[in-house]
Amino acid sequence: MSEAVLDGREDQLSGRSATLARYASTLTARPWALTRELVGELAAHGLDQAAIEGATGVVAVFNYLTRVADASGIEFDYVSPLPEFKPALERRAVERPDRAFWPVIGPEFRTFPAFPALTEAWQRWHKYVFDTDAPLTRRERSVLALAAARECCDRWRADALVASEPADDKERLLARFAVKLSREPWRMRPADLERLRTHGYSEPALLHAIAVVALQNAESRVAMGRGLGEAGAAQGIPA
Amino acid sequence: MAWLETISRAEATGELAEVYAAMAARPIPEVYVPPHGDAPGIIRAHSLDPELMRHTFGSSGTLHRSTLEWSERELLSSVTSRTNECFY
Repeated sequence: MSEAVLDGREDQLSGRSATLARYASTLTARPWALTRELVGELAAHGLDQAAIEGATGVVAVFNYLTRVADASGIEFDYVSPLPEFKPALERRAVERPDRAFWPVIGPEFRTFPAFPALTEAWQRWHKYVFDTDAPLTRRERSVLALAAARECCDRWRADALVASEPADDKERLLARFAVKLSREPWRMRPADLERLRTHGYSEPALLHAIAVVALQNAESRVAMGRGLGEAGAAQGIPA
Repeated sequence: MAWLETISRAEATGELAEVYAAMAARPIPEVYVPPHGDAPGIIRAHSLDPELMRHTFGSSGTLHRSTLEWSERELLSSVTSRTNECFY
């Protein structure tokens, strides 16, 4: 199963595994296109609400971790029996839909009702990453988060941050960093951090810039996973 | 060598050393223990801010209590990483 996933052959999986794989790839690459039907397929394979929330949480967290890995340039350091994974570094991201079609998903879909412990831990994480004053200012965090939310087509979050439109060259640099790390994290290079360093950002500030963008990507996917998947919520855009 | 400055477990002091120790005490599958003896790179990437490290892995760690099978969580994380063209 692992080799099929590494080679992009999820279509060779079957049943519940295939549906989980499709859920993860859709929520990662085209979160706005998630449909209630796909989540319904997960339920048809025996996943209850807690299991589906757990799946959403795993995908969201790995959308955070992969962006931290790509932006910080850490090296692969596990011993794996699987063939070496060769990423397609020149691949381009899928086009984003027009803003008029972005789903609007409110705060009630940005938690994990079946996992109170996860919800509480995540809220502390959110507060620390978005609502602290150092080593980045709150304004700088909001500029980064706005650009990331837009890349996720997360209209509710982007609207909430609309006052954080970049206002000068330094903020535009932050926004460009957030766009690249959100849209095509696999194309990050050392120069992306170096550009921020030359504008005076310290190493801890760089870590926080990465964390803000990565966490916004994770949270927007929680919103899409829950909001587009549950009855009574917004509708996704058909692929 | 990472592009972002990091602090190894051997060099860590104070709060960072405490967080590293707490994380090392958590049970993890053998396959995720790197052979170099230091903390995994994804954890070290957060080493400039131990509080951020604690929040990040405190949240992700709670997912292990999910009702999904371990193999299903691995499937979800692998597909997510591959879709993002990432080795992690």
